[in-house]
Amino acid sequence: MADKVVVYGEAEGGGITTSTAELLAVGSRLSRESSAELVAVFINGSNETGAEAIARGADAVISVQIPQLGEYEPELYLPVMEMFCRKTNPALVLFAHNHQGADLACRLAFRLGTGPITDCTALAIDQNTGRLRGTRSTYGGNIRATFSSASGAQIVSVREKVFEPLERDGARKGEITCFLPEVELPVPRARCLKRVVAEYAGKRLEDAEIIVSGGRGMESMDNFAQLTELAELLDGAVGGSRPTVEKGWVEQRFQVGLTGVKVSPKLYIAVGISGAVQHIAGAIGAKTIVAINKDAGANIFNEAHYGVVGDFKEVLPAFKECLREHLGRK
Amino acid sequence: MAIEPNIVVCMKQVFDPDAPPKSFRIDASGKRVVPEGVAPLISPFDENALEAALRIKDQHGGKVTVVSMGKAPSKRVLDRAVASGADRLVLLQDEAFDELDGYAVANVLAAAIGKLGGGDLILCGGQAADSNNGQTGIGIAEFLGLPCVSLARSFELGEGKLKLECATVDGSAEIEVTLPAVVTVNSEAFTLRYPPFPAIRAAQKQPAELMGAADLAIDVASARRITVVDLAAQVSDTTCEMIKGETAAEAGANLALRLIEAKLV
Repeated sequence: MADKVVVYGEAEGGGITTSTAELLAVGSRLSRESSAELVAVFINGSNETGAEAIARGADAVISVQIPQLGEYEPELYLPVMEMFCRKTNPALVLFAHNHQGADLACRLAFRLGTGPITDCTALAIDQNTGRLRGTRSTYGGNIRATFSSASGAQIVSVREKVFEPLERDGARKGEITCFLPEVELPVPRARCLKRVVAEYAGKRLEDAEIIVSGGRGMESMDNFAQLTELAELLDGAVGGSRPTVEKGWVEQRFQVGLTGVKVSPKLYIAVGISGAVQHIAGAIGAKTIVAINKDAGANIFNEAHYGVVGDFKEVLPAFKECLREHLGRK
Repeated sequence: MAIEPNIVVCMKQVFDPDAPPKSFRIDASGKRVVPEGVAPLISPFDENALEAALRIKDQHGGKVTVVSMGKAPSKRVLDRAVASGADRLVLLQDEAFDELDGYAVANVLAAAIGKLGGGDLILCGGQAADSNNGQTGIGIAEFLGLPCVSLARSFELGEGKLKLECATVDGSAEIEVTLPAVVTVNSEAFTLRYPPFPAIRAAQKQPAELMGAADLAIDVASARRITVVDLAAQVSDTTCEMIKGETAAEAGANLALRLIEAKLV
């Protein structure tokens, strides 16, 4: 029986999440590198979900059916995934490094007697040992470290939006199996009493293709508010560096950085941001970075693709005006 | 149990993560980062965990024990925790604790906490400021067979249980957990209080309790699971195209034109 590379899949509206499609793309390459089969596992997945996973690269899908499982509860999902791993003995299990995936990957690894390699931005199979090498950023983004383990299950979480999903191929074939496990679910000691979805004005950073972000260099809350106008013009979201959150110019939800959101938009416009390593760690996923800063020596220019050295109070209005004219928006 | 809880806070000594990138060198073995001229400090995330513990103590009484491990954790750095209000400082100090992976760290901390008599509540920072791994809390909970709740930003202690508000991807969740439990603390919610000067002096005089690998019933050498195979400095390979103009305003307009030309907007 071939080794298995397993992707922990998350369903969304009858299909799969973008992160799951990304995992299938990277999993597909890793399974080829290690002559393994790529299996997507879904908890309570539908046939449509399974078919979508196959169209995006899975060789087979296993849908674990436990009707009494609702939304993610770590103490209930963990024994299910533990049982699945003990039964199928996968060489490698890939999770998205998001709220659920990062948590479950870590718990599962410890439960299986190993450590996880978390938040990976590069993955490869070592051709000598056949073991996975996972690369992640450490020391606040100063060092790229590559990790491996010598034996046992390999549990990995993968940063979102780093890998491109494969082209959808509806002609791909694969088996979808339903699996009704005999697993005794514990009474959870931590219970969720209430979930609150916060309402925020403006677009979420995770959803935006363009992000306009401000730093301490914006000098005041009023100045910072100008970024909203620019973001609206570009149909983008507004973000801020850690100091701007501490000053209360922007809510924590919109903090870009190591301790905030790690974003991967097509375009990231940094205004008055010096480019501290901890901020860069959150913005480095952007395809293109634009920097506007009056300090020509600011570190942000080492990371940016386009830069303007100048006072934002003069640069921004003209930048906005010119965009408005050419984009033909109000 | 709810009244006067016994709280353990795990704190890691790290090198200042905000130090300039050039100060983080990789040694000749290529497997180890040696910060040059960077001050050691308590991982800021763990300071948040300590503050959470102290606020519970302010309200309910009880005892706060700080545990820190490493090859040579510095009492001088960790005195800050005692000066801020921790009752007890335990240093897990041993050559064998050098460069452990997350699995071994959790194993050692769990064993030490067990040896210290456990706790009603074990608090950790959301992640370490150097490894940025975020697995120690979950690991300790697994080793001790306790529940673990991640990234709490408020605590309400009740009889044998704790009500927490936790950050989620799209808002927050109210979670109730039975004690004993492990909780990791949201980094924005708890800024560590500043200790008064006499407390700093008193903390310096209070001896730390020391524990080594031999005091724990585990084989530290075989506890490692994940090894470093390669380290590289994070170097930027982008070159920045500087957009100029006669004035800053003109440069701004030119930037807009360049982005439109490159079809980026």
